[in-house]
Amino acid sequence: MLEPLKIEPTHKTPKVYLDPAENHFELSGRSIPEDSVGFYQRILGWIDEYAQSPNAKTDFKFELEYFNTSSSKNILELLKKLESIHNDGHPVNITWYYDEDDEDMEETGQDYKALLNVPIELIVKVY
Amino acid sequence: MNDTPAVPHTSDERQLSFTYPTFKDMQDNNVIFVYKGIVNSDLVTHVLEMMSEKMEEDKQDRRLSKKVFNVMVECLTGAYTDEALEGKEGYDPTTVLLVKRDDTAYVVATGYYIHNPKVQTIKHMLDRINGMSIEEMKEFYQEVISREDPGATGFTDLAIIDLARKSKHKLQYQFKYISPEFTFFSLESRISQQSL
Repeated sequence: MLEPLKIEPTHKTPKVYLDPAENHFELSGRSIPEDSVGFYQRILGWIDEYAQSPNAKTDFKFELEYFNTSSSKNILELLKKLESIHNDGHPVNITWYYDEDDEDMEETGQDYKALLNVPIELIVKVY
Repeated sequence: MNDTPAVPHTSDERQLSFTYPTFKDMQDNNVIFVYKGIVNSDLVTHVLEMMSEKMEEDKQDRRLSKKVFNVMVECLTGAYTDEALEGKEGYDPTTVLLVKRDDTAYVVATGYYIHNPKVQTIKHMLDRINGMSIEEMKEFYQEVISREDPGATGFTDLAIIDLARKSKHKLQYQFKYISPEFTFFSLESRISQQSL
């Protein structure tokens, strides 16, 4: 089985936790790196390998606090790869968490949902 | 007879003559935060922390605070130093960030050098976005983010649309010609209850 990819969060990059054995796939925190392409390259490469032999079902959680425009483009690329796994007959469920006060994060989730053919559930976090 | 020597108003009138006018100008314009220097992701984090405290002091609506933060993130990350310009003669990577508050809105303003060949493209995009409805912006955002190759201006286009969608106000801008190579680009976003 593919080795998990785990990256600790920093104040500018998100927590990455991709572990097929635990069926735990998560991207959470802040994503405002200067070089977002460089940061996401590693994640996208890992997903390409995972797509060769994915779990029967993949549950992927996004719980982002802030992200900038260049990250949003890379997150879309990641979602497209998940969509491709889903369309190849290996169901993928995506949960997109947003803070109840964060209308922009909700709107971004809706944009991704409109653009992709993969289940995306928007879940509001209430405090 | 008073033998106490008079305290001089200032040690050196010429050297300190900028402090009070600058303070007064900031007070008159309700400036609540100002930064001038290089912008990187560490700075963005610090600015958000400081602004968070200020907004709490202001007892602002959490939704409005979040919206101001989101706009600031977009404005500041748009001002990350352009690596392609680093080292070019006449290029100054300094950015200015101002946040002010008037009776109805917060205003987030940034200013920084850009390369002259980008001016017309950015101006065209700003004018185009300012002429769009919220629904048109949404459709355009989805179109631009879906492009396989965003191109040289793709991220700038996306950032401008994103900013306008978040603010829900027209973006104010100015291009000040500096030299045959560079222009100082100022951009202002308003965030008010209307943005929610």
